[in-house]
Amino acid sequence: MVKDMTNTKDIISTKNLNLWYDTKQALIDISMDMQQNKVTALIGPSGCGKSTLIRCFNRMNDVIDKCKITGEVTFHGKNIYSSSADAVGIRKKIGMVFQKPNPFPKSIYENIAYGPKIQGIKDKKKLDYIVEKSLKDAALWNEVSDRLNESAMGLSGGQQQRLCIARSLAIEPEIILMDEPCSALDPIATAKIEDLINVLKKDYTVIIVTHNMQQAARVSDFAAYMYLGKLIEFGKTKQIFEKPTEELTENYITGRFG
Amino acid sequence: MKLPLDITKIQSFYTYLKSGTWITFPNIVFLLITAFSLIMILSGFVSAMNNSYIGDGVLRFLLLATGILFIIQTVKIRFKHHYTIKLLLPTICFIIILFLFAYFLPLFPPKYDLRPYEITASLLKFLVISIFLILTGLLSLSFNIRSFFGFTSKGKQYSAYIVLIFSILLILYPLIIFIGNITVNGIGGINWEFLTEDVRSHGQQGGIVKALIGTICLIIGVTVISLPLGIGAAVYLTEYAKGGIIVRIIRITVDILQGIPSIVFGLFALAVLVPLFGISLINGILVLSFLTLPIIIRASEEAILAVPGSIREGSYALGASKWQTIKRVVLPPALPGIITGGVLGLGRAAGETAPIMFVACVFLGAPHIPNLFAPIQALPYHLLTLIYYLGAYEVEQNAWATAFLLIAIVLLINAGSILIREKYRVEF
Repeated sequence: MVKDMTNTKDIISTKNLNLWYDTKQALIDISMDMQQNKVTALIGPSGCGKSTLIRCFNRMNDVIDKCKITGEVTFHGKNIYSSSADAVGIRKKIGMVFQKPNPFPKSIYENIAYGPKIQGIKDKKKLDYIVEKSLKDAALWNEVSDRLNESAMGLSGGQQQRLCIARSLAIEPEIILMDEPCSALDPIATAKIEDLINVLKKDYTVIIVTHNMQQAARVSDFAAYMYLGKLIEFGKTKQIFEKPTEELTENYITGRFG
Repeated sequence: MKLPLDITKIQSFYTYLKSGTWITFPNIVFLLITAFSLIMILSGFVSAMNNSYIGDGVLRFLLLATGILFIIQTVKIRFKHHYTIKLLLPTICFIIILFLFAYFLPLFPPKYDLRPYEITASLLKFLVISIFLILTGLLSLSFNIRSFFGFTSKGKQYSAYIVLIFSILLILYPLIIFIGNITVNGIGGINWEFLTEDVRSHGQQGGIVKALIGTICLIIGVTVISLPLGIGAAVYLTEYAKGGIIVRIIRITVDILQGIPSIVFGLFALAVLVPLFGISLINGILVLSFLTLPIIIRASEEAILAVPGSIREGSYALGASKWQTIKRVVLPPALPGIITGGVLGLGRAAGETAPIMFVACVFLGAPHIPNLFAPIQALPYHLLTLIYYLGAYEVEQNAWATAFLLIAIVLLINAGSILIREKYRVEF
């Protein structure tokens, strides 16, 4: 494992993380450290465990039956899987955007305001401010500012995905997890979201799962290559793509399989 | 609103008609058979409705004519396309049936008395003939279309389409007759006196106002008890109790409850509730709640399960707890389905007679202001009593009117549930 030696703090790490779906082991001994305010991409062929891994970071695997985890995931030094940790509280700091956009069947305003309202914010002016800011940060404000009270289901796929991103931003998380956010979108919408990721990393840490190698190369600072549940190589994106140290990584990058 | 027809298609069809090129021998045969088939079906419907009979002679002519036309059509097709006998066999069988039908028609007496065979029903000619007519008409339409289009898939498709349309009409027909009959007979009895006065003189005079109030009280009471309990049970079953033996037991119990005959509920109430409360409104509410609870639980479960898991995940990912997710994101889109199920269950409860007749209802003498621990009058029970009195007293008009009122209420409730469902439905 290559570890970057610059002075930025590691914000989230895993240590000897193993995961079983029933009896099948999906993650084998994953240990990695991700840096703050950087974009880390998880790449690898289908079924290698990237989505499973990213869902561990905000304990979304808790909702799946028969899922067993050993090992640690440390967020700011504290293990989020310890028995005293609060899954709900963690998800307020680590947000997630899913592969298929999943807006709530409510108005655009209510979608964005959902997170803050859950946290207890009731003041209308404050909610208005948060909604506007989140939509602007997600580069969606100009397109929807005149129809905030219309149903979110009427937006196009790309707009819905940006809405979901705005929705995650509204709770001001520290990390944003993105599970193949562009795979259901057309190239233009994809480009808009990739631009957005570049802007987001100034204020947030982004971890993105992608099966699109070119996207990983465009968008990420660090890359982790996974294969069959194991972490094969982790390092700066430039290095992974130009001079991979492992043979498996090289095979994937050069397209021999995957 | 988009028109189902294409203007250009209609125009080209019209020019085709005007040109006269369609007047060929096979086309004429096809049209004649279609006309005769339609006459058969129509006369079948009409004679069933009017207890009338179109007459032996006319029928025999129809059947014979259709049979001969079919022979012409089949022979022509056999020579034109050289179809095998095997392909034409169903049509040939059908032609034989038509002739047999025509031959045996007058041998059927107007009323075939089956009493010597210990059967109280008697076969009435017009009824049997009308059913045969409708079926024969349908079949001949179907064969006609198939033969005309040369036994290709196009012909089969058209014939299936036509038969399906007529099947739907066949299903709607008894429903329309039923509702029409009750409306025609009952609506004359609905007047201000009927709706606002209490029953007098064994139901011959006065009205059903107390029965109406009683039914409304039952509906309200059942709503108050079974809606919250039912929705709560459904939320528990779908969101909290995942799998496991307890859930299976609860589900089986709910299914069994749904299938229990309502008179058994009545017996249970008679044995358990009457010693406690006497004959009173609360018995009726409790028993009917037992009846509607499974329906509401089922409908609510379906509605909640229809909300996709991705929505729930989206809520969890924003830091919501399980209950917050259920309350804010799962239940709101499920609400139209839940309410539809609830309303349908209530509609059923409003019309049930057997569970309440021994434990909550009286025919007259219920208190003016409904009291939970006193008996009530109810519309279904009122109707039941009037039916018992039909021989002894002049209650026929009022019985029809009560029946009409009852189905009007049930239809209104169902219509309401459909409106709610359509207005608030969420598409995922």
